[in-house]
Amino acid sequence: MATEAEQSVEVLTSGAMAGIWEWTRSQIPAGTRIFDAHAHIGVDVDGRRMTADGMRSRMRAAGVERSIVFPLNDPNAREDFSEPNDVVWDAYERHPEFFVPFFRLNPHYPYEKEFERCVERGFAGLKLHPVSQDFELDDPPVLRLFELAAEAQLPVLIHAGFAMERVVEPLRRAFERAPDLRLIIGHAAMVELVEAARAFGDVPSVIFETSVVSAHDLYVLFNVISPEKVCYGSDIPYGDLPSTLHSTLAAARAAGLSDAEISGVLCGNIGRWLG
Amino acid sequence: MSGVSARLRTGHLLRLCRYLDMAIISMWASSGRAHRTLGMAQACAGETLPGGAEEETLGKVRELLAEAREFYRAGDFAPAMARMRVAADLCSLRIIELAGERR
Repeated sequence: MATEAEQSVEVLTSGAMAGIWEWTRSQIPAGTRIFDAHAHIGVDVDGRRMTADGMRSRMRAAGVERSIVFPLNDPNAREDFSEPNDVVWDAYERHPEFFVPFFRLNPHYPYEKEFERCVERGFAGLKLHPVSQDFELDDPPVLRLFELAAEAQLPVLIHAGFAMERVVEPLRRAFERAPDLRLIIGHAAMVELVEAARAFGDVPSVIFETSVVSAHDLYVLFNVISPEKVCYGSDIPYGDLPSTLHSTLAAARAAGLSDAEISGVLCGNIGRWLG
Repeated sequence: MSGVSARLRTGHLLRLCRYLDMAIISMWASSGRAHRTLGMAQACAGETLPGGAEEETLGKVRELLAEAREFYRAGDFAPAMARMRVAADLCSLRIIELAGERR
């Protein structure tokens, strides 16, 4: 189980990481207010956990201004995720200027009531995890959920990273059903990154998120898609702010992005979606 | 310049990338042999090319791996994995740089 000390920014920015972190900080364009588009608060079945205060201390130490936060694969989720969604909402109410709350659902079970409750409450978006909840992105209940989110003008962040095999084909079906869907492709579609860029790179309502994606994958991404279509994420507590900022910035610099483009990746691009 | 060809440099860094990836996946999967694969990556990083080629990258990777192994041994996954990720990123971006093309 992860400890507070293990997750602290200090152990991530000292020793052999000190020079890495110094370089990383030097590459952040002046005036950039970093927006982390992928972080978790709560408890996971695998034992990892993150509190609102822990998240805030990491953000403060790393110079991150805002974070999209949503539940982990919580052992207390039951069928509707209402309890972990409440944990995220509580975190948002304690730190409304720093957290952007997304709720999580399990499409295998009736989700309409929790969807309505969370929309009425003011959640800013929805998180879906096809691996943890064991579904495909084009399963009928998931396509219906995409329709509901589009009708509510609610962005959906999908896990499209580790252990995912099918991303692009099912998402094409999703956009056939819900053309107005606003989609954040978590982990930049990883194994189907190039095909996803080809399929959705020109779709205004799609953005690719970078958390725990390797620098060489991100280098490819920055060369096959406009940087305006990319936003930074950490995936805390699975990722961390220093190493994910390093991979994003190192790849962006290697790909020749300008300061303005990098600033967009770190904050402006997702900021335009969420204010 | 040490006179070592870009192809040899790239080949050596590809070897290291492979062992780093193996170690990272082993750590993610909580494999009982993760400490062994970490050791393999560390051994590969410890090798030197003729004329000290790529020592700037290899030196950073060695430091990161040594600390990663210590954190992993102590059960501190996050700082261990952060160092592994950065080591792999340094290697792979150096390979891209050696390919000689920029945007």
